[in-house]
Amino acid sequence: MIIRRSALVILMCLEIMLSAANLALVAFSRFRLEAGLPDYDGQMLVFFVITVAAAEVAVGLAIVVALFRSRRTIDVTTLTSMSH
Amino acid sequence: MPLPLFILFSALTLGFAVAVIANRNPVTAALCLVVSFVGLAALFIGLSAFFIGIVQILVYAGAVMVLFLFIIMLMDIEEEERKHFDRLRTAGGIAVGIGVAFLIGGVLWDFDYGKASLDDVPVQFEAAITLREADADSGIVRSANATAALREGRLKDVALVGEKLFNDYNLHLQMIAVLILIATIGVVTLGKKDSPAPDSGSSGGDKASES
Repeated sequence: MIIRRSALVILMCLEIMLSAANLALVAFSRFRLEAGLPDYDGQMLVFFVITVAAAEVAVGLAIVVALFRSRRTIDVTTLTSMSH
Repeated sequence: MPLPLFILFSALTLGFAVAVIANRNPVTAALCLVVSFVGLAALFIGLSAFFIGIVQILVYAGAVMVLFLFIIMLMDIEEEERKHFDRLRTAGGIAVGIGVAFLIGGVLWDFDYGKASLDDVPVQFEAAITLREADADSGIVRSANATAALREGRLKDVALVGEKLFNDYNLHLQMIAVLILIATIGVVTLGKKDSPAPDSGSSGGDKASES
């Protein structure tokens, strides 16, 4: 919203944020050894985050396509019909 | 992971992630995101999370990015025109970013792990084998395959992840399955053209099939 106004790029940036959280989780799971092995609980959370993110992107892109069909634009600054 | 490789892959990840928000062409942004995710997968593999690294490439760099590019092609979006952006908002965003970086850096600095390198916390194969054999004797399901690999000094990541997933996180896995089913139904419902309005509905469909 600050620099980019395309709904698609906002979704991409969301993926980057989730990936940052994933990287932190994997790093902590490797450094915090659980019974001599990396802590696989953290990697499970990463696995679920990846799965949920994939589902979320599918739904998000469907919403973007529906938006483009009705408005012919995906610029989020022009979508103000609910603001007043 | 050797330090030069770590620096290379983190620079790749961060640099292309910045390129995603700096590029105004959405196709370029999507391709930069692919490179960023490949660098991230390399970092995962460097942290000996092999399964997560492969899943990152398969799901993100493969499926999700193909979906993104497909949608971009479908809508033939032109480049965003350059617009002066709100100085206050930009400064706020940068300030929050720097603040979070300092916060995480501070936590890591006060924390023992923050100063440790990967060599300081090697995988303890002997301890792991003993514990796993004790678990297996007391009836907890432990993959003999993975234990045998540990005895050879190899970390059989996929077997260990699968063991954890199907023992401790079985319910969550089934919940994810239901979630994906619901997401699929939602996408089909959203993507369906509403037939009663021929003007708005069919024009979008025609445009998509032409391009």
